Amino acid sequence: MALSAIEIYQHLPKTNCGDCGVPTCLAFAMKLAQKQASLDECPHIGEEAAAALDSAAAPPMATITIGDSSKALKLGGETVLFRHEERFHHPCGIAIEVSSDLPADEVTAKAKEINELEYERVGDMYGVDLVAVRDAGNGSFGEAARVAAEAGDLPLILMSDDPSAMGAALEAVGSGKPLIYAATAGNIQEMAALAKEHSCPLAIRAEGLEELASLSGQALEAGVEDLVLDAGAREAGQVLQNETAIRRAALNKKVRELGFPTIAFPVGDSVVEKSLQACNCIAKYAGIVVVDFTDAVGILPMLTTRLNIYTDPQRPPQVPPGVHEIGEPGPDSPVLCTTNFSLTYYIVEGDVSASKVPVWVVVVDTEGTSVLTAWAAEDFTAETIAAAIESSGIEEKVNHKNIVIPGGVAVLSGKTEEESGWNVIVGPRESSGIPSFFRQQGFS
Amino acid sequence: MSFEMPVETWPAAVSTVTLGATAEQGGTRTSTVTVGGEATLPFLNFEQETPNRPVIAMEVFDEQPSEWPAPLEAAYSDVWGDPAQWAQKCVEEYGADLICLRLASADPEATNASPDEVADHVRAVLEAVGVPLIIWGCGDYDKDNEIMPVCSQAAAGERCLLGSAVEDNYKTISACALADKHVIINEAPLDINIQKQVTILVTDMGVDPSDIILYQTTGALGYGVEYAFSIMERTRLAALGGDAMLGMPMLAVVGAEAWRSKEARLSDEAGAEFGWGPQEPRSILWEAATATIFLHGGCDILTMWHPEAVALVRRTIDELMA
Amino acid sequence: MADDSSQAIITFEPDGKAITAAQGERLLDVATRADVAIPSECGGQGTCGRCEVILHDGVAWDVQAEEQVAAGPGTPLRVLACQTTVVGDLRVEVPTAPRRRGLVVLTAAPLPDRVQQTFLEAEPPAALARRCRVSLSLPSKTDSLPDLSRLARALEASCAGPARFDISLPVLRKLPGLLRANDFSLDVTVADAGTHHHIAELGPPSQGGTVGAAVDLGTSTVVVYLIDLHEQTGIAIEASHNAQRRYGDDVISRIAWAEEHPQGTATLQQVALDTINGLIERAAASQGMQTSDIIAVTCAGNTTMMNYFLGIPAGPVRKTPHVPPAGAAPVYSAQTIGVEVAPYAPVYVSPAIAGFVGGDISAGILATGMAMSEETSVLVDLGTNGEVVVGNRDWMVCASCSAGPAFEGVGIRDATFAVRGAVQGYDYDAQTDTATVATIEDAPPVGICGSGMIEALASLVENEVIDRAGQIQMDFPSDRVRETDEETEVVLIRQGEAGAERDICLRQPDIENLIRSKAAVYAGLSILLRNLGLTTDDVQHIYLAGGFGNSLKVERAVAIGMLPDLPLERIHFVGNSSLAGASLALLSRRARDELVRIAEATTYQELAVEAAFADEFIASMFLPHTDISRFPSVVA
Repeated sequence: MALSAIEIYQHLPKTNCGDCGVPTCLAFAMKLAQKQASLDECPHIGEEAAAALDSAAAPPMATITIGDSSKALKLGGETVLFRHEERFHHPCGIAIEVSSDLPADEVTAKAKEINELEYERVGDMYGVDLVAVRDAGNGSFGEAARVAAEAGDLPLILMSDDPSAMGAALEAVGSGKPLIYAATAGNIQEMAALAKEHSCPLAIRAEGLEELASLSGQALEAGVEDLVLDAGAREAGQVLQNETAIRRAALNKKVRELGFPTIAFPVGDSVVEKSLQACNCIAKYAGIVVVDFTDAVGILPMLTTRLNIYTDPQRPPQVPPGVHEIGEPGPDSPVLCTTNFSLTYYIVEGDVSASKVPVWVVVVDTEGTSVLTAWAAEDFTAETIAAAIESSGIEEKVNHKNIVIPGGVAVLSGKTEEESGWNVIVGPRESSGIPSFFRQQGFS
Repeated sequence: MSFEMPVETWPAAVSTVTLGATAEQGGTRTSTVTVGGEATLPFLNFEQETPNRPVIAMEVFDEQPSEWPAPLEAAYSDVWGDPAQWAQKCVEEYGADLICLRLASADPEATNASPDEVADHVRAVLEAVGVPLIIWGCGDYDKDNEIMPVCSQAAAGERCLLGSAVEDNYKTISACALADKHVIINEAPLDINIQKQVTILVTDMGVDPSDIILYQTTGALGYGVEYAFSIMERTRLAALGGDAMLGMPMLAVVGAEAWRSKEARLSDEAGAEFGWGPQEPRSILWEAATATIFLHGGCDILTMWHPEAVALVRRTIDELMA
Repeated sequence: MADDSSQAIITFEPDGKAITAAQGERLLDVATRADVAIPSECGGQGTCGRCEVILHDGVAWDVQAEEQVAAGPGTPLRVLACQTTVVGDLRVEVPTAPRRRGLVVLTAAPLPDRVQQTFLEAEPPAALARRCRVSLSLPSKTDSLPDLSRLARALEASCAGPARFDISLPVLRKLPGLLRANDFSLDVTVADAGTHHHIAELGPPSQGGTVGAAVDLGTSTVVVYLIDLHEQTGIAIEASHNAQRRYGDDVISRIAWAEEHPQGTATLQQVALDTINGLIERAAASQGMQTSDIIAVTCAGNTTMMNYFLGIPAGPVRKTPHVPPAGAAPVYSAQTIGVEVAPYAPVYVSPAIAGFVGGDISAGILATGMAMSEETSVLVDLGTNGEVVVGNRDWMVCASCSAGPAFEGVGIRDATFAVRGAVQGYDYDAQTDTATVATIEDAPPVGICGSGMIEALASLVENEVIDRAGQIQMDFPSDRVRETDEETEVVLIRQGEAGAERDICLRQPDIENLIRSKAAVYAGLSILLRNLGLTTDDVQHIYLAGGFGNSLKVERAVAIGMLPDLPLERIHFVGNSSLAGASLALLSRRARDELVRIAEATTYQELAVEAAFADEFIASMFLPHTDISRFPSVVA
């Protein structure tokens, strides 16, 4: 059970010395309780107190790393069942399979394609995380692993149940810390030995949760501490139940054997079906999903689902600053201005859409705060609005110099005109007034 | 080691709501739809069986929609001038569990149809199909206050789902539901507290909690879907924890949200610029994936647009129920 | 009519106050000079619309339209006072804003026993300045100690606190002469400067009393309380609006104004000093005293007010991370700052906790005694901003919750400060359609003040005049509910009812403002408790502070969900705790030391950044709350 700030405070020195970087011991205790600080930031903590506080803070789910390049992937370390309780920490890894029975040059080509799969979304690039090399049992697994590793920086998953094939592959690429998939009831000792020898994370595949916990316990006993779990099910309903049971067992019951990230293999008759099932898995707790296609149609929704589910709900969501278009605005269209707090922007967007008037919106970077908050903190001022107008390039897109500012900051109108050289029109206080405001102004 | 399933016990359950009334029940529907009743989180059958599967309402507009993308045009252009035929197609060809009739023609910014005109559309759809109906206003609260009483009366006794009650118009909608024996959609702008406030106001009017469905303005995959998802999760947790004012089944507007996104709207050519692949599977999957996330949030009624997306989601529901 | 002259006569109605004004002078400024209160939220920028007045019989200049406007007999004209300048003679009706009629602002409820004992009855309390009668031993051949050392030796024996003394050169120069002219017997004014004592003034023995002034420098209201330092009793109290209001109704607006105008800080300082000096003058005059009889001043106010009081630019308070330019300040002389009392009088400023939690809150914590108690208490200060403190003698946490100034009447049309005639108690009975009204000094109602708003809101929702979201129910069967051109409103007090000269209403937006304010306070408190891992059951006392009324039925504050639903004996309305703390600081060295400790040890929590706060805020925007289970006594 997590300790409250007051309970933590009772163990601190209560000197308010400020050496931890915050002014009071209580402030530090509150940060600790909210997991925004770590105990070692206090140089004066006694051993007894540290022990008492540490045991309360021990993570219920291990964090493991696959790969050793700049693209190494961290997984697990999750602390909650629901994202609104805190956040999910390490986004689900997305892996695409390459079969070892392809000719070496095709393995290289496919692995390269996977490495280069990237899509842009609001200014950031998103791609897949892992190349999964599947042993087709034709004796070329090691070679396929080697060329796949050479094709790019993405870490590998080595997929074979055959310890000798796995051994060969690890000889070739083990130094890159690939994930070994998988130890099963039939090979757990050999696979665990390989994982230990090469210091690689080990995935365990079992038939059901009970066997999973038991195999995981054996791997831990053998000294392998970085595990990934697969309870064996492939049907969406059973996968969901297993994933939930594993997460609950780890977090609520502190079952150490199940305190690891999971791996899932979506199934289906088409790319569309498999992608949809992958989205299912990403929404509910999968640590890695492995698919066998590279089609954008299927990959894009997976990347986007992951992005959404792993968004930090505590951080104010933001839209990128600059010019946004609502509808298809032209040179005569009105220009609005607001802050980059997503909710503010989306509300404006919704009300503008309802008006059916196409507009340009100049979004000012206010670090994700709403109009009045940003004004109070001097992030939304005549100067920042003028700078945003200038840097957005809106001037080249329209044939007028009229900008509508939110009614709540009408006080900025004169100064903004001075700073920007634009004519300022004071809009409604509430975004919901936009349609009738447009009508009054004669915009259409 | 021995493994023990981490089963949790919940003190309460979601209320059970039946939509549609057959002849014996005072209506003319040939089938009814029952949702809700869950006593655990979505699809956790190891804890509790899911008593009623989530259902899909297909949306029908009472006038031809403007600027619909090609995949939707291909599916509906033969019927979209006639809401009755459109509804029929959804039920007979695509197996819609219920029809969500959008009274778009009443929008004062557009056709501005009169209350009597839109009530005729309601009657026509009721005659054309036997499944239960969702009747949703045009979104202009003043106008909805005019049309909903007339439309509600036109469907009196049918136990339709009326959309939607917000703080500004809950009295009108509540009065309609009480007078004509309908169920109401209680709407909130992505805010669990406002949702609860509307529920309290509506129940203060005398509406029974089992005659209410909850709805949060939704958001699509890539466009804020996570807010709605988390709010649904919170709502379900509150319901299971015994909060009666949040203990109703939930509805999500999937079609309209998903098809607003760039990922669904961009044509083959425009999408190629981003390397996004062909529009048809892309847009269908976007709608289906949006729906899927809401299923995991605990949604009971999904309103959708594209028949293939509907088919995909129906299959997903089958799998999750299994 | 003052035809060709550049002077015009402006008459303000209904007071009938007339004043000469220059052509081109803004009506808002004329009103300020005439001491006629016209509200302004935007600082005279022409945007808030609060300063609307009605012109009769005359012409004026519309600044925005750049044209002359005229009001004839029978054709009055509504204009903004800040956007209209004088052309000629004019009658100006100030429409709804209640006019100042001498504020009645309480100091506080009686101090808790423990506070009284610790700071005032313990040995020796040591006021900020004391006038000591010292009789030095006469120098002799065996005792040829220098005069100054001789004085220090005598003072050490009679002054508690630091043993170090300093003295300014001009005062020192007077020492030998005065000693020898008065047989080595003197009255010495000693100021406690924190780390040392300062010999502020020397004089011949006299019978003059010693008086100090405690000042509560609020954003909206300023109160001066004169206290006999020796007797420890209050002798006069005066209050008025803070004249800085013309530069904006809240601290952010004032900072914005100061930053945008040359001499902005100096102007705000001077205006605050003018207000304070005027009150001191009035208070002293009421007792037949000279202001120079006042030998010490303490001042408590929010961080922005304190910095402007000292003439320090407060700009950094506005910008994240809201750093106060000065939190605690050294003790300066009144002359240095510009306070018009004895020039040498020490001025002590109550130390601030953070940018948005000022010395007024430190003072409130001090006065409630919560920082000395083992029991966990809550202080809610409902000023122009809302602040919440939770703590006990071991720890203390505070937050500012941007409640907005609704309970101080800002943004509420028929509101008034706690003046004579302010409605501070209200109850409506739907059965008989009658209102029960309690006003300050039982005068005819002139407007409603904060405590009246709380009681009215509770009463309206209880009688289902408004729903739990605060919406006025248009189908409520009484003509008290009505729709005007712009808004729906509830007539709380009809013209003629309880002697009211006009209808006193709450409009729909007023109700929304009040709900927002009360929600911010409750949400701030909830999140603060949650972050500490506490529940309301852990709270032994809630102190509700503020100068928004003389009395309040605290159960009504619970009924609207402003305060948590605790047993009523745990909830205390303490009035102006800032002034009470400033008074203690004037009288007691221990109180001043405790203030420093409080300001340093109190942890500030920034709530605005927390998603949970926004969530709880929305949940609190309901009467009493969305989660009704938290208010069992209200439902029952």
